[in-house]
Amino acid sequence: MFKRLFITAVLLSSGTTQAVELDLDLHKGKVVYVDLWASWCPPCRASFPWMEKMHQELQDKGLVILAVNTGDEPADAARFLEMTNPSFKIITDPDGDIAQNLNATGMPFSVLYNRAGERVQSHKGFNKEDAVELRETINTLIAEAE
Amino acid sequence: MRAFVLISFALCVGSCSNLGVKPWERGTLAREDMALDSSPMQTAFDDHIYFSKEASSGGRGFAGGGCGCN
Repeated sequence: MFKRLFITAVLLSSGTTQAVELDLDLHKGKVVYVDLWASWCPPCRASFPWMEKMHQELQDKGLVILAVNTGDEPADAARFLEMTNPSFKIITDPDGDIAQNLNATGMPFSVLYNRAGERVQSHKGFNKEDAVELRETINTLIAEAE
Repeated sequence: MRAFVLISFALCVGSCSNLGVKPWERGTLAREDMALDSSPMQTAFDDHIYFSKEASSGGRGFAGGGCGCN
């Protein structure tokens, strides 16, 4: 049974209030990589080309990348996204509600869910070695019951 | 009086339950103007003056010894 993670974060930008949802039921049967990032965090920025590559190569095989912008100035995040232009999904969590719910212990912080919706792995930080290890784990999860 | 002390103690203890900055709240601390040394060039000038007058340097950081022995 796909475990449902339903988190509502409130986006307070330009005087409007917009509910943002991270609902893993939308990605039932897929491997989901949730990444918490902020534009002020260098390793978070460094992980974007890797996430883009992973998205391009593995989205057809069942990988979904959800990049959650948390604790960031909306203008700074928008500027960074304009530069990088990622094709994976970006979610906004300015007050850190999603980060709190995921028990993030650092930035960047990623959580991997398998096809059954179970939280398989959490990871803090990002460097070249992390990229290799994460890719191996993602490949293993994608291969499960494909 | 005892009740007052106990309530005060409980309030003090309670206020310590949520200390610290969460990882995603460090954006403000990461700002350039929040750095301990917000003007590196000014610091370099000050260091040069200090070295010229005292014939010693260092001692600014916690990591260094600051013994003035070089």
